[in-house]
Amino acid sequence: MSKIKISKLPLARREKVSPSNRFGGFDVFCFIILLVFALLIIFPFYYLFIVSITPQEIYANNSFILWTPEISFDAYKTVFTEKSIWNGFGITCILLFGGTLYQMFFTVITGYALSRQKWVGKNFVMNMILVTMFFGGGLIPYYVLIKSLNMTDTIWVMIIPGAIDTFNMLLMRNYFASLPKELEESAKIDGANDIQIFARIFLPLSLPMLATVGLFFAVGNWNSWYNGMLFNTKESLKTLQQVLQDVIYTPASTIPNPNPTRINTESLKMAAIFFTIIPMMLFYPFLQRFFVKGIVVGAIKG
Amino acid sequence: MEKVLIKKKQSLGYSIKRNLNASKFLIMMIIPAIVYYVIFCYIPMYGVLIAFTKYSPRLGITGSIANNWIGFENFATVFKLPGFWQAFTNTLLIGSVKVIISFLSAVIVALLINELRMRVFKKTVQIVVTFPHFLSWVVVASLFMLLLGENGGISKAIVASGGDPLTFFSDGKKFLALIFSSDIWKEAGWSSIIYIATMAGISSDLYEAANIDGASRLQKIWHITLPGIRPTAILLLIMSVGGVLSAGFDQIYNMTSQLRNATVLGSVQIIDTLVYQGSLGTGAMTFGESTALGLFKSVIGFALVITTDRIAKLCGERGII
Amino acid sequence: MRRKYLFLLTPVVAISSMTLTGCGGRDPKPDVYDKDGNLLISLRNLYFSDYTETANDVYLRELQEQFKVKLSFQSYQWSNWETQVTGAINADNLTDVFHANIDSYNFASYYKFWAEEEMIKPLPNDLTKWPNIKKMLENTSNVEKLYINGKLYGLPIAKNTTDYDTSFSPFTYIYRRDWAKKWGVYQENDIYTWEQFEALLEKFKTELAPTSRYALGDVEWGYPSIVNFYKQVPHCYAYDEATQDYVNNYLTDEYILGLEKSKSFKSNGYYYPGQNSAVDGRLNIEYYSNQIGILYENLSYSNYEALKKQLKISNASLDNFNIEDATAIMKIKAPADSIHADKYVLEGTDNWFSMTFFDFLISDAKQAKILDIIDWLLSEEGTLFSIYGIEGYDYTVDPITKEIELIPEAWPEDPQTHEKAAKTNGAKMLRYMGSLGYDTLGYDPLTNKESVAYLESWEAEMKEALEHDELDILKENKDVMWLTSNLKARYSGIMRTNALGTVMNYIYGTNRIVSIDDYKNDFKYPWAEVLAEINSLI
Repeated sequence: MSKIKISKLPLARREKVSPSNRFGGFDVFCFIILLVFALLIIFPFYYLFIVSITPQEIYANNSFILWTPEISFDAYKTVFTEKSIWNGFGITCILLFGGTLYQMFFTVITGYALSRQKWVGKNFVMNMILVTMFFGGGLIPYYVLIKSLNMTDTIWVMIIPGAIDTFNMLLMRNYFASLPKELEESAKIDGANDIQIFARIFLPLSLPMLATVGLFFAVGNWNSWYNGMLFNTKESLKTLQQVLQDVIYTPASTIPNPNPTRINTESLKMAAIFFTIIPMMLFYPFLQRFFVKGIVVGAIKG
Repeated sequence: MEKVLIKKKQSLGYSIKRNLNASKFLIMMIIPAIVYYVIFCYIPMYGVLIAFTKYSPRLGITGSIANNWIGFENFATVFKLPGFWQAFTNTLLIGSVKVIISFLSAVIVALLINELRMRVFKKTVQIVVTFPHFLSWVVVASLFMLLLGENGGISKAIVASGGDPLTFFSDGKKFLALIFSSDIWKEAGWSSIIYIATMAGISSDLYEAANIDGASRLQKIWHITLPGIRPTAILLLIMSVGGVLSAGFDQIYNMTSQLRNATVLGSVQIIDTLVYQGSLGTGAMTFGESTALGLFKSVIGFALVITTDRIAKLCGERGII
Repeated sequence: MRRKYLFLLTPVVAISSMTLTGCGGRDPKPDVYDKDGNLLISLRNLYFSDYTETANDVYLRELQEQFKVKLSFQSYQWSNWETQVTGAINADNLTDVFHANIDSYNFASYYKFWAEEEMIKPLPNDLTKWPNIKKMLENTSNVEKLYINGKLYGLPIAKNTTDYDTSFSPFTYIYRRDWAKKWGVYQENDIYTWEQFEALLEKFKTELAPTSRYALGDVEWGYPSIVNFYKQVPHCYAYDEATQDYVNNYLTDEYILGLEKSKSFKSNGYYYPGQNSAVDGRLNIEYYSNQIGILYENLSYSNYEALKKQLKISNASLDNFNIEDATAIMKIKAPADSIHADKYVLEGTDNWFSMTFFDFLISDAKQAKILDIIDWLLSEEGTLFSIYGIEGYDYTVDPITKEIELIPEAWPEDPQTHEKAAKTNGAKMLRYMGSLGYDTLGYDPLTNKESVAYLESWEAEMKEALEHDELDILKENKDVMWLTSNLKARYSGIMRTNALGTVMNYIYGTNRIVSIDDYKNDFKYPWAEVLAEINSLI
């Protein structure tokens, strides 16, 4: 068998041909180690779910690991009837859709501009951006800035300052840079203008990377709480993660709360956590396949 | 001589003009980014000067810089703070161990997945192991405490069958191990993606040649796969070196129950948590001092990246700068 | 060549940005009125976080009309209160009125610093216009320490508006009386000598261990509670009679005796094992989940009521479970080897925990307006309004007996529990700017009268014990507590935090501190300097 012929075969079949590649002890070893690792990752989620559907008195009086003696969805009922959770969900959804689109737009065009042919000051801009990965002004100047932009107590503070994420922008840039130059040149010969080249050629070709970066932003927005915590003082602007923190955190300072409205149980906390991770769990498997390609080209070919 | 210079200048000006013309679109695209970085990163950046002042909220930042300049006094003060040097060594220790184990764990997971030949299982495993990366540390810490805490699920089961509860959250050394393993739990799968893809990119000719030589699978891993991912590995190592002094504030903050688990905090107190505690909880640090500490960290991190990059280049590898 | 840019860039941008953001300097905030002539006031308070329905609140509307104001409510997040306060202060983003936690440890870096920096506005010297506020301040402990150059820079939020002298922190043990009775270790009237207490612990341990439950747990900031029966002062600085100096409380013989006791309790297996990592009210959860038999807790009506309610739910499946009998406050007398032998011991405290502040930049008129509102809310009329609502609509007053009768239609009840549904009443929230509301518990229709009566009887009993010298209240010397000197101001907070860590480490013995010598070694720096400074000043 000639080499050329083999390399033309699909990967899976090619492997079978080679004599040392027969299914053997080493495969079993890999399989077992990975199985154990995967189970170690799944199990805490499973246990979290189990605890969330266990009534408090059962959780309190029994030790169980694999299955609960009694099931109750009361904790979920509480979570679902809690107004603040839905309000937080709404705010987070605004961030998730509006914020992600906005961030994608600026990050992608910046990445594109930095990936194409050399223009005056390109290196300067690039270095200017890289420096920000190491040096920042700290909390107070940032706060003063946000205040002078009149963004405190608005939803904008959780969206606008996140326009460009340097890491994601670099991923995008490197991906664009990895696409062959000839594409651009031949399009130009066909009479396409710059916008058309960007929108009709480069964007469609970058779908895996766009999906990757989009997911990063989406997850970031889903988990967002810090700017909201710092700059928003209105209950109606709390994100889902902030509400979750309120649920997990029973007032436990030396300051007494004269007016506590919520009393926590383990299952309530876990139900609230589960509520915030379930959307990710549902969507993630479908998006995961985009990563491998995108990440690698983006991160390495820099 | 003069003539030549003028000619050169002309041509330089001309080429700039031509370049501007040709890149109009790209320059238009970069303008929002420049505006963004200037407003949100560079304007606040003058705030690092707070590190050299006695900060006064009444005067504000510029007023403090103009009126309360005290030079390096803040630096001297923070270096003398109780616990600073312990936090510094902890940071170095935790940061560098994390760099090493996250590198090793990622490579191992990547190798295992790469060697695996059951396609469906391979896909599933990849989905599972990369997922925790997207969870916040608040959630991950809750999960670990729920399961491994002194009164967590596993401890309860052990105690019910007559044993002693786990002590991950009260024994400093075990807690440190937990910090490292939770880091692996959360990030190993994710970091492995990049290596898996690099491995997929290694030319199959090399493996075929090795097959002909009768190499075993371990030999192939050692002689082909690992050298194949070396450039990537070095690149990623250099990038992670800059983060050594960060050592994971989010993780430690949440795993120590917002720094309130005093039994283990001593073993994992890092610079960032010290700043947080000092400037918010105990009043031991002024804003000038915490900014000074932040600046100190940034400078060292930056220097580390540059140095590692140089060393890598001296050793004949591709750097990042 | 590229790197040159980097070094050039920062200063260039820095300088240009300075001109962009403009120089500091704080301008007074002008009074702003809405189109109906109402003064706009923004308020930020931790307790407002439960109050969101401002739009539909008839009581708030009424109040705003009465005072010709328009109030906007802002809140903090419980888990990040300090970050939010510090951020707002240092970036000068203050609401007209705001709320912050002040104690003797952050006194210098918060209160004093803010006052010196002109971030907070002092109250007028003459408070006769606001008699209720004046009266409340007269009944506030240590209020004289809050004056800087004769001025008071905020309003301490009172726990009790009267009678602060006997105030003690109701940090105490709550226990499962039903279990004690069941296992035959119950003592009459919940009074226990130390031996009886230890016997009870031992019994609880034996009975609970097989089901992996535990005898004792302390609320996270109360640990190690056992030491309270030994030590002289609540926190850092104890007075040494022999040398006539202030010394490190954590190294006094008394403290170490208590520490060893705590260690033995831990090694005897009395303590809940996750004690050291417990946060967020974990031990409360364990207590009402039947996991621990005794809980050491900072007792307030709301805490106690919450415990009872949840405990009832946890034991819903048990027949004849009587909640009033199942849980009670334990009264324990200190052991014979303690300086407090055979007495009850409670920690002394101030009757306020946090303060209401005014932005320095608001006008005198606005501050006066806010004080008007607070003063009215603390008056009898205002208190009735915030607790009951509007006369004729929510309640009626008998013209002869002056007794208050609720109008049932205005107070719907839960048919099963017979509890009255909470009302959205902004006045009640606003009242938290002056008082924590303990003064109104007795007649608030929403409180459980039995619990209030029980807690009050306990408090009366303790006051009586104090009169008969059967109770020691641990108090730190006021002058040392509120002294602000350079080193103390800087280090006392971190010293206390670190000390707690050291104590925990020693008791658990699993970390770097395993012997008493390690323990003592840990208190070298900066204790000596701070104590020397205090002693030179006192």
